Amino acid sequence: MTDDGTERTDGGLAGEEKTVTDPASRTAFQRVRDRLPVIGVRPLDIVVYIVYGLAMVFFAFPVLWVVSASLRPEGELFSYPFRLFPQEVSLSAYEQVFSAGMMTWLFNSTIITVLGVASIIAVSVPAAYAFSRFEFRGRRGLLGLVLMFQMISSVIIIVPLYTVMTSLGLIRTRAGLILLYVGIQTPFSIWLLKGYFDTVPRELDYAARIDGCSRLQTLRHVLLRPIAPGIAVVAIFNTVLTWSEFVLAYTVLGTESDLHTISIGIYNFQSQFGNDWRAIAAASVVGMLPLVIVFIGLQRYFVKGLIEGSLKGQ
Amino acid sequence: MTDRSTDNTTAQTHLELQNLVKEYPGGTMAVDDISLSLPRGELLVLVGPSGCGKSTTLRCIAGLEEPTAGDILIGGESMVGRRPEEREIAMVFQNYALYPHKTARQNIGFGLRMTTDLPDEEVRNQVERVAETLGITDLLEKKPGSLSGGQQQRVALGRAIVRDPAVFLLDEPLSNLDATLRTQMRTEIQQLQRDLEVTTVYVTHDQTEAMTIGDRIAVLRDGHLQQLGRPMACYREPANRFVASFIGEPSMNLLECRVAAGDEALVGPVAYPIDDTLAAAAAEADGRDVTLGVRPEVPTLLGPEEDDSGPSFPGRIDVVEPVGERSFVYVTLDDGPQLTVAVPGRPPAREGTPVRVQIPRDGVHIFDGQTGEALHHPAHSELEGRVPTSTPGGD
Amino acid sequence: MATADQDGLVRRGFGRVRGLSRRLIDHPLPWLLPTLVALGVFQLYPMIEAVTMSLTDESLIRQGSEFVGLDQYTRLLSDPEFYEMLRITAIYAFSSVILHVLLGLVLALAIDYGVRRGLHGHLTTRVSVLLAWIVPGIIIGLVWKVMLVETEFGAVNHFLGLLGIGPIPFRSDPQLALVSTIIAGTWRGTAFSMIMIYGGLQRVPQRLYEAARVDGAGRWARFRHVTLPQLKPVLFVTTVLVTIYALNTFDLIFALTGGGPGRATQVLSLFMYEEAFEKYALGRGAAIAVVMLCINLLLTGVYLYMFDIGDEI
Repeated sequence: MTDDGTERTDGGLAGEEKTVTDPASRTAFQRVRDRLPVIGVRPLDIVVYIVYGLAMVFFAFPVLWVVSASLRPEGELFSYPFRLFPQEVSLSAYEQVFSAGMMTWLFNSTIITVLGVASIIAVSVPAAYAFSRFEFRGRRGLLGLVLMFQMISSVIIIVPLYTVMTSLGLIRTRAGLILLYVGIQTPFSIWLLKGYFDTVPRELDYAARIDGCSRLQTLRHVLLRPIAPGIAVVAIFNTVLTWSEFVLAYTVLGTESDLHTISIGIYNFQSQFGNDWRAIAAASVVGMLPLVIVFIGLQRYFVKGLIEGSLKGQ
Repeated sequence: MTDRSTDNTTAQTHLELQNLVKEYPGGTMAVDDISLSLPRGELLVLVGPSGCGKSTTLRCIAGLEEPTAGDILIGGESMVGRRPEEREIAMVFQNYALYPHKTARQNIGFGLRMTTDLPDEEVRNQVERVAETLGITDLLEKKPGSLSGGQQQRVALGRAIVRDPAVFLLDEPLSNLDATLRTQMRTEIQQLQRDLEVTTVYVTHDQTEAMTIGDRIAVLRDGHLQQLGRPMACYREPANRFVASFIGEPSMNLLECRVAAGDEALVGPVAYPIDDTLAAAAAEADGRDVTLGVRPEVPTLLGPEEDDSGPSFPGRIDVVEPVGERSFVYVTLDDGPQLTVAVPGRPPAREGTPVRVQIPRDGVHIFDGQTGEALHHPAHSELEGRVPTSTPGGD
Repeated sequence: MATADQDGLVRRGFGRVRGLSRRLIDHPLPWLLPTLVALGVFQLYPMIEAVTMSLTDESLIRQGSEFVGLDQYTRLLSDPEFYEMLRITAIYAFSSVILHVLLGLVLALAIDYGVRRGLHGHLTTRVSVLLAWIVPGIIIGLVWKVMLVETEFGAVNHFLGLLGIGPIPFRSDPQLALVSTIIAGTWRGTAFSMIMIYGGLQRVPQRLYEAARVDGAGRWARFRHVTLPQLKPVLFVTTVLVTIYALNTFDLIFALTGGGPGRATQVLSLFMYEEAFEKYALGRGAAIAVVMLCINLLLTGVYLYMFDIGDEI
């Protein structure tokens, strides 16, 4: 490392604005840039724009294509010439999906997601509070355990899951699945919420105690508001996880088709309809639409949550 | 060491700590056997370096921590085991700890709402009365985020006094403020405390703050009470070497010496001839090691050739720091040690100038070299005035 | 003052339960109890059950089971099929990790650069990448099934056709099928790496760049000597997390290829699923689960070690 800059703390020049790689044209270039900040295009900008373009095509195109495929009348998808956009818009594929039980799946997924997320929050907020505000023996070990459960994949437990859920009397019930999600998804939520609690100064708790609050009242009146963004992140996150989850639901709910969630419904639907791509596309669109809507509105929180939950304290 | 504390039991004791001990799990002794008693309306400052146990003591009084042993009495009743809100105390925190999502009004009124059944009307009246006292009426609808440090401080004070506490606890209330505001708020807190005549325990690490605001100060170190007394008493007659170096700015010069054979001089970095009084004091030391303490105000600077009665030592001026009406001169003696000398007025000489430092025998302190206990203080006449700094109502 | 009324109401409500509950509330156990129960019942218990089950010959179609000791493991370890699954899993996981982290790094740098320079499109790019990530795994499988239809009507094959390639049997050729799952996995997983690395980039102190610039470092030198070293911990952590994630992939492959053709895309989790639920050999499935659990624990250990979580808890 020849240019070990770590020792010098005051670089003087502030911000990326002053980065001009060619010293000869520096001042003139800067003057132009100051007036027309966006027009000054550098070679690297073009490379970056190409990256953006490729990324958008790779990541957005499949979704858009599925939407496009789902909106075609029967037969159009496989007729010449190939069309990116449907020639005429038809909702027949959606009718097909809805007549196959989509409403039931949506209902089940909604109810499981709403109750599941609410339960996860109800369980993880007190736990996160305890990890942040209590000093007790075994606290570190317990936190380590929580973290470990966060890391271990839930796929591992599917083999004994049937036996376990049967012995608990929870097999083929929505309540069973919801409780299972609480067990699986709380660790991450606790971890994330603890981080939020830790940012609230303890003096606030003390002040509240002197003002006559019990711990529960402190949580309710004083701490809940500062950690509200954390709760929002946890809610969004678990909504996505719960809505999307497949293999646990598939195992717990089994053949009880009245209880099937969207993932199970769509999976069964596609095994039934094999190569009807139009219908499969329509089912996929319906299945992801709620999440896409939630997500587009709240993606900022999302990003924040991911970073903070996985990389806290660095 | 506590036996040097000023005996103040004449007045009616209001807050009393009896042999308070706080040990944290893991064996850390935060507070080790501290006893204090405050008459009603007194402002006592707990002062010491960080980790000395002053904040822990305060939090024990508040009920935020349960003491390991000992008792806390307010108005003669034991408070141990009682919840904070049952103790009739109020507390102001270093970072104000205002509830960020509540307005100033809600912040001030929150305690009343939680602990009393006062009707909303009454809560509002009380909040407004307090706000008026503190001059923050027009800030009541604002949230802490949009208030300046000083304004937040006032809201925090408001929250504390609205409940009309019996004991007022302040934990480093000024250390988040800038220097100008700090002086101003210090005076305000002092006035407020006097107006309300509320027994107050004030924690700070800043000895200047302690000296100026306290009726009495309690100097703490490593969980032990070092000295309890009026500020000037702690300054003039520090109970030990630690208090001597902690109280006073700049610090007292301390020179580690030994009593020479024949008891005629202290030898060490300098050879300091002593008289009978000093010799008698030095003789009380456990061993032959003593520490010679010299306040920066005591020595006189002489020209290199000048001589006067009394011991004086040649040296050279290192640095001169003019601080307004006086100057601090750092002198390295030819024998090695560096001394700080405060001289009135403009700096007398430039850096590098050779000087003689005269240290009169009637101005030195002597401490036991092993235990640090004070053995001798310079006498000061009662006429000399009690407290030169503004400490109203000294006793 | 609406909040005042509210506060009053809540206070009165709480007032009733004060006395005794207050004691309880000052102990951490009541706060942690729901979590402990949930973790115990739905994580720990099934894991223990998996270990127990792996020591038996339990089957879905037969009543009762016998203790067989480590039989399942010895049979598993002497089964060439198991090694084939391991190989496929390793290929899938390894390629996924490389692609995820590399693509994630490129995208994070591009987006970071775009944000600083005020370029257009960085937000759209970010949203596109993240969009792929929130799509449910089953649906991702189906989306790519639709994309990779093996005639010229499939979107990808159509475009390849324009280039004079194809049509390519993306899902019926064993090797291409594995490539397809890796592509679909990358489509979903890149968002995670991107966000992690982007987060890491935001944490590089700006003054390091400024100091490097004062030292005359060009853009590449700053990347090489400031960005990369500062990003190292994040890259490590991301790599471990992505590895764990890739090793446990199930739903996406389940929907896209179902493990086929033949067993060409049968990663460990699908192998486990098939043994347990399609061949009804619960004991054997459990043994595979325990193997997966060990791999997970090992990687978690690495993660904890690298993250040095100790100080932080």
